[in-house]
Amino acid sequence: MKKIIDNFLDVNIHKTIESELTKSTFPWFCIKNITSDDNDNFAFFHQFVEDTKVNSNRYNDLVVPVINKIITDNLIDTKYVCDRIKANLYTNQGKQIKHNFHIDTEKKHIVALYSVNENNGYTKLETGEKIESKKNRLIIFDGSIKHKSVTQDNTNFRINYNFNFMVGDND
Amino acid sequence: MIKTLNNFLPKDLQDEIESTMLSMDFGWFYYPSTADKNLSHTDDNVMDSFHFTHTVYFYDDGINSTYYGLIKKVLDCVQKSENIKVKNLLRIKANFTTPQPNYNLNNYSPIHPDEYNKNMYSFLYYVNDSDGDTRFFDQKFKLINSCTPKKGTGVLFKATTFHSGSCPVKYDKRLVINFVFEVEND
Repeated sequence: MKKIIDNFLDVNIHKTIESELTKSTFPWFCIKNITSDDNDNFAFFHQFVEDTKVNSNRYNDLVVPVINKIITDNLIDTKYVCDRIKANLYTNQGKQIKHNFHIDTEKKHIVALYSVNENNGYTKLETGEKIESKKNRLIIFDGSIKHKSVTQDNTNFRINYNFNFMVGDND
Repeated sequence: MIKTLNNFLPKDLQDEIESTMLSMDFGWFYYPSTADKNLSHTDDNVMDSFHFTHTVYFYDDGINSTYYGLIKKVLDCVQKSENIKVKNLLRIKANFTTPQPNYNLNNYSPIHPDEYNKNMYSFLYYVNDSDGDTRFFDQKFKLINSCTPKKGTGVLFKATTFHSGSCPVKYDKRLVINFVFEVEND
């Protein structure tokens, strides 16, 4: 199961998100190991939701519009709840860095990736598909599919949102 | 006056500061360029770059970070090492730069002084080993000195001194903390 939706959000909402994430008031945090096997790489992240709990005071203005659109467009079965949402920011290191294939969690889940800005980085699925980082693009795929990110070398940063939807406890 | 300080900070504090600043709890804020273009000098080697900052203290606003207590220890050790006493703290700001496209070891950021007040000093603390040198220039923008970032070391200079940081090339990150302050009986 895989879906790619371009022009996902209203253009103005997307522009607001892109602009706010790169303002000097928005905090990013350094993560040294992007996947469990990536010991030499680092990136920045901002955790919006952790274990279904909101973890950021920017959740309402920067994430809710995306979640609402996913729900209203019936893109994910209602039995799933959003367990984790984070934004990733990869800096331009002058070359495209390929991270390792991984799954986000062993539990049954669905991954949604929302690409905030346009760049030549991409997401590669182990099934072979290469999904370009096109701004305002949402991709959804089964979380059991191994995937990896590849950084960009044509823009200062690559920013995307990573959503993990899991089956709720009462299911 | 440009003075490199070695061995002024205990190793455990060096490690604590580096690990804290690279931890998942330490917030960094994106800036698309490094210096105010109106207040800086440029030449053929100057390349501006994006970077991340964390303001620990700013004169107008006071303490701006929960890590003030930890990071202020660096300045305490500088005072002890140099037998000086800070009278007036203007700012403490950490900078995080990363490799940039088309950037080589000859490039550096726009040349600038930290302050125009002759009573002010700057101390640049190198949090990690890196290769983005700090260069110092005279009033005619001639290179007079440079320092390679080495973890646990730092450089003390008059805040009016023209200088320039640079992005790492062989290393993947360069973390520095910039202290600007006035000392007693200077």
